[in-house]
Amino acid sequence: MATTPTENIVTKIWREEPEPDNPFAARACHCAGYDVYGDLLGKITWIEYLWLLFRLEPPTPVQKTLLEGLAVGLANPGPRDPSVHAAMSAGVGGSTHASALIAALAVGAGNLGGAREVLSAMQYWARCGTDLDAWRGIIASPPVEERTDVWPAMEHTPGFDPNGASCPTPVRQLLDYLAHHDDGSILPWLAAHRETLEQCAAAPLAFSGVAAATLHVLGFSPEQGEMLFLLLRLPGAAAHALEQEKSWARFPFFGTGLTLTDDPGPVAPVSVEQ
Amino acid sequence: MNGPELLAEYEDNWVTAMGAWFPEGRVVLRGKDVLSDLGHRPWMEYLVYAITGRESSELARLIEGIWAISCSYPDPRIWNNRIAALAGTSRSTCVHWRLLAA
Repeated sequence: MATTPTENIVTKIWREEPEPDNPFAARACHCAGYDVYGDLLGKITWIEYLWLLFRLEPPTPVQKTLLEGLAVGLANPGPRDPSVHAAMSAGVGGSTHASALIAALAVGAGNLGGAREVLSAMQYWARCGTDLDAWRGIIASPPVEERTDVWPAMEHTPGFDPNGASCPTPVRQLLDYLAHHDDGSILPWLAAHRETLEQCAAAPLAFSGVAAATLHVLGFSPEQGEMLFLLLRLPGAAAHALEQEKSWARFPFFGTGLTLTDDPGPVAPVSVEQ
Repeated sequence: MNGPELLAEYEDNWVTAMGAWFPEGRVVLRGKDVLSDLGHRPWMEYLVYAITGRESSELARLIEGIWAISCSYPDPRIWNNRIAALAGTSRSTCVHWRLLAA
């Protein structure tokens, strides 16, 4: 009987050495060449480890500061954000904790304030950089996806809030903090040209726009940025979902807040055929 | 047998009566050819057979009836529907909406 060749997982991220008594348990785990439990543990922060997983090399002090600041800025979008509200709805409804996070991920993935918007905005940054005329051009004539995709088409300039008025203070505070610590020119450029870009987009800068610019500055690909945005916004969703499990009766239901525009009115019950 | 020896027994092979896909163009579910034996069945009958192994149009109709009158209230204020509606608001994908509406 011919033997089937062993199939292996191929990865640059991770290498395990087996325990002597169990090949399925790791004696040592190496991330990008670093011994995670024998060397890194206690020496690096969670943000540095997150960077290492995505980039396979340690961050510089500036990179660590920017990602750490962005992570704090994104950790809790607040209970009115659709992704957090979705997680809270799962909590109120008694769904599983996994369901609450899945709800936050699915709702927070979208083109309006979600991770897909960050991906699109990062693509804009890759094309335009700090060229103001290029930004004016791409905002006036946004790129159209050539192939059919599962995503609906963008309906606004990514990174800006079509439902906003002026740029909210926390967005400006986060941008100012990150621009102050950026050792390059991009985030300071965004801070300096924010209002001009907002006039072009006819909408204020949003958290998604700050995140996209920062993740672009840090050298992440748009796909990596999309994933990190999903990941970094989950803490608030988890905390709010757990809190709502305890107080479902106080969660807004909007009892008189629905108007049905296609209603046949009361109808007689239909007898069921035997 | 238990521990690593048990894991090694199943490390690179999967013994199942539930079903398999064959590259030459066959799909088998619970001992039946999907493309020739099961393709004509309504979706719920197929689902009932996949989950329970029972071939019952009556059970499929019962489940459809239960589903229609008790699991599909469309009000967007109801929490599970609200989550799906929020996915629409945030312009997520239809794939996400369908998962959340379940």
